[in-house]
Order: sequence, then C-alpha cells, then structure tokens
Amino acid sequence: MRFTFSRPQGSHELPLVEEYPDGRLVRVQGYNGIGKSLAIRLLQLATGQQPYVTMSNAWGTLRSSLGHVMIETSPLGDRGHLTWRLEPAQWPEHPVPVDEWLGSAELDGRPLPISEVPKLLRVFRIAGDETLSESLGQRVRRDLELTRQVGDKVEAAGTIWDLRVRQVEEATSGVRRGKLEALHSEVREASEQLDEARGQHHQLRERLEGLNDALDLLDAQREMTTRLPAIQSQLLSLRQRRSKAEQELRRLDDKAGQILGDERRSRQQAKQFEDDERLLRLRRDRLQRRIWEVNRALTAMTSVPDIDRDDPEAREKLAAHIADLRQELAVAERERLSIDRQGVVRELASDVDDSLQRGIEDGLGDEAIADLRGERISIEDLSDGIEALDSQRPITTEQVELLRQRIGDLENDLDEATRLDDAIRLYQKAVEDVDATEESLQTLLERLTDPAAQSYRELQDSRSALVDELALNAIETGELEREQDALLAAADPGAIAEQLEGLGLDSNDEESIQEAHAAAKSDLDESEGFISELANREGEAKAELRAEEAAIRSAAEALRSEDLSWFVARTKLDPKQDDPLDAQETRLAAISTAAEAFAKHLLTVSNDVQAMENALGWLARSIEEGTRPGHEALRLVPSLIRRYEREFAEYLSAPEVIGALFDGGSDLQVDLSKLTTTWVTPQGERRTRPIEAFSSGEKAFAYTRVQLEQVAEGDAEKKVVFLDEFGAYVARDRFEELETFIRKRALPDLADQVVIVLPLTQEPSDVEHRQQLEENGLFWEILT
Amino acid sequence: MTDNAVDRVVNLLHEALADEAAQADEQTGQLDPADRVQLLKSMISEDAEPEDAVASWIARAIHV
Repeated sequence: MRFTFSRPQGSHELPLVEEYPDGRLVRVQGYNGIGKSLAIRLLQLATGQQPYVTMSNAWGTLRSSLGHVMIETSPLGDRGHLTWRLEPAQWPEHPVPVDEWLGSAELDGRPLPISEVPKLLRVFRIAGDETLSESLGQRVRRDLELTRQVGDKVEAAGTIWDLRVRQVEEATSGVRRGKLEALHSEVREASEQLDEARGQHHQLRERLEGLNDALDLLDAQREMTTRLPAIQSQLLSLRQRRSKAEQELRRLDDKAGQILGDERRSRQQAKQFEDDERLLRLRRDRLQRRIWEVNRALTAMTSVPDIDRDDPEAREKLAAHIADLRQELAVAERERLSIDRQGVVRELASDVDDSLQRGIEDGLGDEAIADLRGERISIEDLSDGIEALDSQRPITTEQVELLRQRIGDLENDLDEATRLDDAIRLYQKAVEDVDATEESLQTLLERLTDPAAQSYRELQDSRSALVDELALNAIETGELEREQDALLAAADPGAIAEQLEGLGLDSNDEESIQEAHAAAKSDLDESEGFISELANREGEAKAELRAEEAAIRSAAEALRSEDLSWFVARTKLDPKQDDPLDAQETRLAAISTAAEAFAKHLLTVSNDVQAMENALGWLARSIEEGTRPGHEALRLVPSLIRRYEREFAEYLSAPEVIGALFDGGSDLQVDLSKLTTTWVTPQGERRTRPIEAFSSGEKAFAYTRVQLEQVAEGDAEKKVVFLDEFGAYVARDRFEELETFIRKRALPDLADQVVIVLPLTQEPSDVEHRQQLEENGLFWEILT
Repeated sequence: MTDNAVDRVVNLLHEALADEAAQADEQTGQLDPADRVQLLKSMISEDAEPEDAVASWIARAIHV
C-alpha cells in the first residue's frame, strides 16, 4: 500500500516526507530530519492510535506548526482510496484518544467517520531507538491506554446503569424478607404477655381484696373487745329499768280497775274499757316498733332521702327515690361489666382497628361503614372513636374498687329503701290504729262521772308515759342486742382463720397482715405499670406492623408505576395486587436485595478497572525506569507482574529469539522484580542474565519480537508495520537474519506490509535510487 | 475500540482478578472474577440497552 502526504504550498516549519511506497516488505533509507517518523506517527493517528500520549511537548509543536495535511492511500483492495484531511490547529490541547476531532476521512470519495477507519486499516510503528525495558514498559503502557478507554466506557455506562438500579432500589427500599412475619410474631407475643399479665393482675387484686377483708375482720375483733362490755352494761341497765316500769304499770292498771269498779258500771262496759285499754297498749307498742323500723332503714342508707314519715306523700317521694337508685345502679353495673370485658373488647377493637387502618391507607377513610340511628359513620370516624376510647383505658385498681363500693352502696340503699317503704306504710297504718283506739277510749271516758274521769285521765297519763318508756326501752334493748350479735358474728375467730388460710398466711398478727397488704399493694401497682408498658409495646409493635404493611403496598405500587414499567416489562417480577402481603414482601425483598447487591457489583467493576489502571501505570513506570517492581501495596500489581512475566517469557520463547539470544535453550523465564531472564541451556545449566545486558543487535531481535505482538491486537482489514529507527541497532551482519525473521514471523500471520526505515549510510549506486533520493530525500527497495 | 483491544483488557483483568482471588485468604462475598468481567463486558458493550441489561442482571441475581 502506498501512502502520500501533501500540504498546501508555502513554508513549513516541520518537514514531512511525501511518500511511503507500496510493497509487502520494503526497506527505506533517507536523510535524517526529513519527517520520516512524523509521517509514520500521522498514519498511526489517522488509523486510531495516539502515539503522543507520553509526548506532550511534541504534541504541542505538532498542533502549532504542522498545518493542514492531506494523506492518501493507494486502493485498499476493491474498497478504493482512503483519504484524510487533518487540521492540527483544531486538535485538543492534550494528546487524548483519537476521535472525530482529528479531521475528516473519505473512502473512495465518500465521507467515512474517523472511528470507522481502524476497522479498515491499522498502522503500527515499532521503534528501534527504545531499550528492551522501554519496549516491555511500552507493552504495559499500551495496555494502560486500552484500560483507560475501557474505564471511560465503564464510567459512562455505570452512571446510566446506576440511575436505573437506584430507581429499583428506592422503590423497594425498606422491604426486608421475613420482617412481616417477625412483626406478626412480635405482636402475637406482646398480646400473649399482656393477657398473662392481666391474669396475674386479677389474681393480685383478689389477694389485695382478701387482705382488706382480713384487716376488716381484725378491726371488728378489736371493736368487739372494746365495745362489747359497754353494750352488755347498757343492756343490764335497760332490763332493770324495764322490770321496774312494768311493775309500776301493773300497779296503775290495778288502780284504774278500782276506779272503774267504783263507778259500778255494767260488766259489759267494764269489759269494753279493758279491751280498748289493752288494744291501745298493743297498738302503741306496735307504733313504736314501726318508728324504730323507719329510723333503722333511714340510718342504714348511705344516701338518706329527704322524707318525713308523717308526710301523706312520703311513699310517692320514696318511690321516685327508688327509681333514681335503680337507674344509677344499672349505669354502674353496665360500667362494671364494661370493665370486666375490657380485655376482650380491647382485642376486638384492635382487630377491627387493624382492618380500618388498612382501609384508611387504601384511601377509603371517607367511606361510610355504619349507620348509627340515621347518622352515617365513616371508616375514619370509627377508627378515631376506637382510638379515643382506647386512650381512656385502662381504669386503675382504685377506680375499680370505688366502682365496686358504689355498686354495693346502691344495692344496699335500694334494699333499705324498699324496706323503708314497707316501714312507712306500716307506720302510717299504726298511727291510724292508735288514733282510732284512743278515740274509742275517749268515748268511754266521757260516760264516766267527772271526778272519776279526772282521776282516770290522770292515771292514764302516767300510764301512757310508762308505756312510752317501755316501748323505748324495748327499742334500745333490741338495737343493742343486734349490735352485740353483729359484733360477735363479725369477729368470729373461725372466719378470720379461714380468711388467713385462704391467703396463705399462718399468722393473725396484724403487723404481718399489714406487711402482706403493703406488699400486695406494691405488687399491684407494679403490675399496673407492667401492663401499661406491655400495652405500649403491643401498640408499638402493631404500629410497626402497620407501617411495614404500608411500606410493602407502597413499594408494590411504586414498582407498578409508569417510571418502572421498563423493569416490570422485562422481568415480570412485580408482585400482583391479589397476592398475599407476605408473598408480596418476599418478592419485593428479593428485588431490593438483588438491586442493592447489583449496585455494589457495579461499583466493584468500576473499582476493578480503576485498580488495574493504577497498577498498570505503576508497573509501566517501574519497568521503564528500572526500579524493579515489587510494590505490594497497590492492588493487582503482584497478579499483573505474574501475568506479564508469563507473557514476556512467551514472546521471547519464539524459536528465532531462543536460538539467537538464549543458546537454543529452554524454560525461559522473565523475572520483572529483578529485571532478569533465566533459561536452561541444552547442557542442562540454568543461566541468568539482566535484560539490559543484551547487546543492541540482540535487543533488536527480542524487542521486535515483543513489539510485533501488538499488531495482533488490531482486527483491521489491513495492517501495516513500520520498523523505525532500526539502523543504530541492527548490525549489518544480522540484518538479513532480521529480514528472514520478519518474512517468517510477521508477514504470514501478523501484517500485510512491513516497512523497515533506516538512516542513509551510503549514497545509492543506481540511477533510479539516486533520483528518488534527490526528489524525496529518501529511496526504497522492494524486498518482497 | 476494536473487539481485540477489548478482549485484551478483559482477559488481562480476568486473569489478574482470578490470580488475586486465588491468593486471597478469604472470599469477599463479591461476584467471582468471571462474573465481574462478564458484567464489565456488558457495561462496555455498544449493543446493550441499559434497561435490558440492568433488568436482566437483577432478575438473574434473584433467580440464582
């Protein structure tokens, strides 16, 4: 293939040869300083390589001084001519990888992108002015350049890919496999603990009540001890007074009989008088009992109604009071029932509220869920109502105790009020009876003579006073006897012993019971605190569960959104709306984990490429500068050293190189940490030689062998290799050996054309070559 | 970049990563070297649509 270089007419600061001739193997000789190497480097640029990577100054000179250049090839098979128009003044400031900035290209007159050129043609320059170390270093450096290009692509793709991965990650973030089940277990466990604690709390409350009862019994015993002697003394006194009054009454009765006998009335009249007298006594006794019953009922009530027993409407007022009591009792009992069922109701409310919360999260909060006597209740209203009721609980032990006491009082008052009604009714009847009997007696008295009537009335007054005293005495005696009976019953030693045994106490020592009471009270308080804590924990677990359920729904929805349709369409991995929530969680968690892991993998790949860039840069410098690579701190350096040692050993193991440089030996090894080669001679002796110890001619062989490997990298249709600056290194007597090597190793497999460029050592003898030299500053010989 | 050049870098990296993994005392829990270079090749492939590639790699991670 022939290359021609042309520039507009005018003075040019940088010289440039005008032509490289066609031929499979060509030898070119020319004057120094005519632009032979520059032309080769321009061809490298034109075919996609950047030879100025390490020559920033030369690059700057090129941009400022080269000027417009046109390069043209002879036809590439049947594809026609390739033409480039380069504009160095427009090139980038730094020698970056080749791109469209280079200029323009045409293939057989049709525009061709610069990036497409390397597929058609690649030009390689192998420079003989490099040492073997530099050559090996350049090998690494070329890999570095390729790695950088790969790194740029990885970075560009990584940015775009990462955006997509983040989309998936963000949509599914927070959903973790098994979290739902763990939260369900947590809620279940908290509920069970709460139920158990409530059961224990109930037992503690019963124990406290039992201890209260035991203390009450002890109080009663103490009361009996102090009060009983006084009662017994009062009873004795009352009985003595009664006996005396009865005696006096009998005396008055005798005297009354005498007065009536003196009046000589008929036996029938006397009998009537006696009967009425006896009846009046009986009725007055009964009236006193009724009064006592009314008073007892009133004093037995905790809430005394404002009722006068002599009021004709007393019973109507009492009936209204009883109705009020019944109503109050019904309310209190409903409240107690509500407290007793609190645990069950809480659980029920919680179940309902969980479902309501799901409805609210699904946007159904405003939908009606119940009709309460004409008023429609929304899901949100019902949930708020449950929350409000929930916040009023729990009721403390003291409140429960007060309620129980209140119910007891109301039941007592209701019983007493019913008795009071009977007592008032009987009292009013007794009053009527006494009035009627007294009226009858008055009629009989009016028939007596005045003196007799006067005596009788006086006697009767005294007698009435005695009857009243006896009645009162009977009442007081009865009350004291009842009080005595109550004290004896309440302080029954058998009842106390039974109560203490039930509580597991074997001592009736009050101090011990008080201690047990204080301990039970403390346990109860602690239990209430524990229940409150467990209720909070249960509430928190439920809230967390609801949040997780919401997160799963939200993630599933996000995955089904338009933004992620690309992912769902390709993977079909979105959870279906009808899937159970735990199945949705499993799938979302798997996606989330995979996306998270994949994001890390992207970073890993980027780091790998960056690590290789760093390692290759360090390795190339170490080899070029002979600083003996052995640095372990940089990642991948040791691995790459081993890799290149194998590769370089393979290059140098070509039979021609082994024969020329290594005694025709075997087992060639390269040690980059020492920059040496070792091999085994045919006599079995292992030899070692520093790489830099090879002579120029020897190095040229080895070096050429190594450099030719780069040609294999290109997959262009045509490959052209220039061996530049070889003259100083190739001894005349070994040149033919080199040509043979190129013919055998390079031309068949690696390159379509090889051009060996040499400095002019002597003027050509034939006319044609002299004319070429005169016109171009160089001449050429077609060797093959 | 030519295919041969890409292959050169990919092979070099693969061998270096494999050697590094062989020398390491513990596994890091990351992708193995073969998968890493496969991912690298996917990233620099001119033909791959980002959405196709990302979806495929995530789906693959789930099914493994």
